[in-house]
Order: sequence, then structure tokens, then C-alpha cells
Amino acid sequence: MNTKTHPEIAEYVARLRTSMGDLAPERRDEIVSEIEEHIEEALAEMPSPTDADIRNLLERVGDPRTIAAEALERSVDDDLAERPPRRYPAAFLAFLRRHLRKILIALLSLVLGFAGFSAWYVTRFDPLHANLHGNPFRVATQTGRPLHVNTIDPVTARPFHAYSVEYRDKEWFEYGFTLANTSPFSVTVEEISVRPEGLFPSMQISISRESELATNPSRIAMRPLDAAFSIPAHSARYVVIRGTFTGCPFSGAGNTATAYLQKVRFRFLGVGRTEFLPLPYSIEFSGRTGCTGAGA
Amino acid sequence: MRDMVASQDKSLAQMRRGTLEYCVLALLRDEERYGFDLVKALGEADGMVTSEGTIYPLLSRLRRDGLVSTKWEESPSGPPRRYYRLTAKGQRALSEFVDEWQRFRDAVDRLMEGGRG
Repeated sequence: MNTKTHPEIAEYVARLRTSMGDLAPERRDEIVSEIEEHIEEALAEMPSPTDADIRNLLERVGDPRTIAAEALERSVDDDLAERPPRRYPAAFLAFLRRHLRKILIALLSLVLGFAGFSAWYVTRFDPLHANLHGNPFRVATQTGRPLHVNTIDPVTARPFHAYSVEYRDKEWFEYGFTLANTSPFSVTVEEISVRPEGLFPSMQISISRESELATNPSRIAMRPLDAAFSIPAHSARYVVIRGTFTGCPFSGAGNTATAYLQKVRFRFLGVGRTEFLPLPYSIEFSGRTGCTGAGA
Repeated sequence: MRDMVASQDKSLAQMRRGTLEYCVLALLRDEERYGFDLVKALGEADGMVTSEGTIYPLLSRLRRDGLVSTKWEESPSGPPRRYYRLTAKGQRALSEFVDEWQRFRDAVDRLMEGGRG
């Protein structure tokens, strides 16, 4: 029998080794191996030790903590395991060193997460919304009145406006909405264009200087949109788009076109994007009043 | 009362502890011994060692300080043994202690007898 085969002795030696963790490894090894030798010598004197004999022997050798305490008491500085001083910066640095991998991974995840979020934010987050808040401009025609139906959007369950507009050749038609920037950054609007493409070959787009609540359209200062303009964070502009029906595009009976998206090219946080903003209403164009000739 | 007993125990333990290393050196004055043998000899002296394992940190320290040296020798039975031997430095330290100890012991004895008389 030796110190490695008897489980109780092996466990004792392991405990002893752990208890002396504060000692320099070579000194700890020396003391542990001498105590192992001691136990082997003692075992050699017993022809067939019982479990009680073993326990008795280990009790005589002593509590590992007592031996470890004695070893620490008898130590000079060189005998101690090298440990970082426990002053704040050093202890902190030791903590950093010990957990370097975890800290680096955490930092990297943070950076990657932030980069990912930023990438998503500047390319996917929609800062602009077309709505009707405070906007007195709706859908209007030069002559006649557009058919207006208040309904409920079947998908969003919100109130929804549906307009039906008759095509009258050479007459103007206009629609307006509020272009709101709901982001905390300013958005530069570079171009507003109409869908369906080519429905109005000539279009004038005007924009308000400020978003202001007014029920009377004539009191809102509109100006033509001839250059890029910026909408500050959390503010809005009124947009009015006026086109002239030209070219009798609808051929054949019952043909219609429906507009419900507004194409806007803008720059958000340095990234140029083109988005199709859902309009707060849909406009259905139909008919071909004033159209003559073979195509009519 | 209990506190007094406890502090008496503590000062006796300190006294034993302080003299233990010289007892080890004294055991090695005339012959080399291996650890187990040393511990047994100390255990036979009344009250010197309560926990045998605590001798080994002391031996390690003595060797580190150059008061003892070790060498491996074959054992007639079982594994080789690590034998401890007193160095010249250890001999000097021991004889210095012996002088000091005799003076100290005499002084203490005189005080104890005077106190009793």
C-alpha cells in the first residue's frame, strides 16, 4: 500500500496540497512529498492497516490547515507564491489578466453588437414617415371632387383614407402629406418622386419651411422643392405634389392605377437610401376624360 | 478563568514552537536522521509535537536557511529515505542557542524558586 492507492490518504494529500496554495510551488511540493514519505514510513510499520489505523495515522499527521498555517508562519517572503499585491490598481490588473479572454470577448461582442446595430440603424431604420398629422393638404383636383372613402385598413386595423380620382387630360391634380422625421438625427431629403413612374411627366413639388398646425392651406408658406433640404430631428415638413394629367396613359376600359407609396431619396447618417414610404391613403386613378384619338 | 487557561496554553505553545527548531537541530547533532525518525523522537519528548505534519514545514525552512542538509539513502525496508544532517552553520546556531538557553533557563529557574520562597 502507498499514499496513492488508499483513497483516504490520496484525499488527505490533495487537501494538504490545496491548503498550501499560498506557498511557492517548489516549497509546497517539497513539504507535501516529505509528508507523503512520512505516511509511507508509518504505513510500512503496519503489516495490515485497517481503515481505523489509517484515520488514526492521518489524525496524528495533523489537520492540513494546521500544517499549512505552520508552513506560512515558517516562511520567508521568497517562499510565498507570487501573488499580485492587493492594492487597487494591481488587484484590478490581476483581475483583468485572469479574465482577459472573457473581457476581450465581452468587449468584442459589445463592439460588434454596436457596429451591427449601427449598420442596421443607418440602412434599415426608417427615419421618415408619410402621415397626415396637422396637414390640411389632402387630395385635390382642378375640377370636380375626388371620391373619398374613410375606411379601416384591413391589415393594420387603422383608419385609412381611400381616394378615387378621375383622369382629366391637361388638368392638374395634387396630393399632400406630412413628411415626418421621427429619428433623433437630421435627414437630408434629396428627391421626392411619384409612383407609378411616369404618371405625371411634369410635376411641381412644394414643401413647407416649417411644420405648423394650420387648417387653412393658404396660411402655410410653401416653396418649390428645387434642392435637397434637411428635416431636423423629430420634426416634419408638409409636402404637396402637383402633377398635370398628360398623355392619356390608361387605355382600355376599366384600367386603373393606384398610388399608395411615396418614393423618397434621402441621406441618413451619411448613408444615401431610397425608400418607398407608405402614404396615409391610397389614390386610385381611373377614367380618361378629355382623351381623344386612336389611343383613346 | 477560561481566558487565563487559554492564554497560558498559547504562551506554552509559543515557547514550544520557538524551541522546536533547536530541538530538531539537537536531535541531529550526533547522527543523521530521516523525517519519520525525527518526528518519532520528538513525539517521545513530552508535548513537543502535537501534529506530526507540522515538523515538515520547519525542516523545509531549516534546510532553506542552510542549517541542515538532506541526502537520499536506500532504506533496508521500503522506499529510499531522505536523511537530514546538521551543517556547520547549523552546529554554530545550535551551540549559540544552547548557551542562551542555559542562561535563560537558569534565570527562569531562579525567579521561579524565588517566587515560591
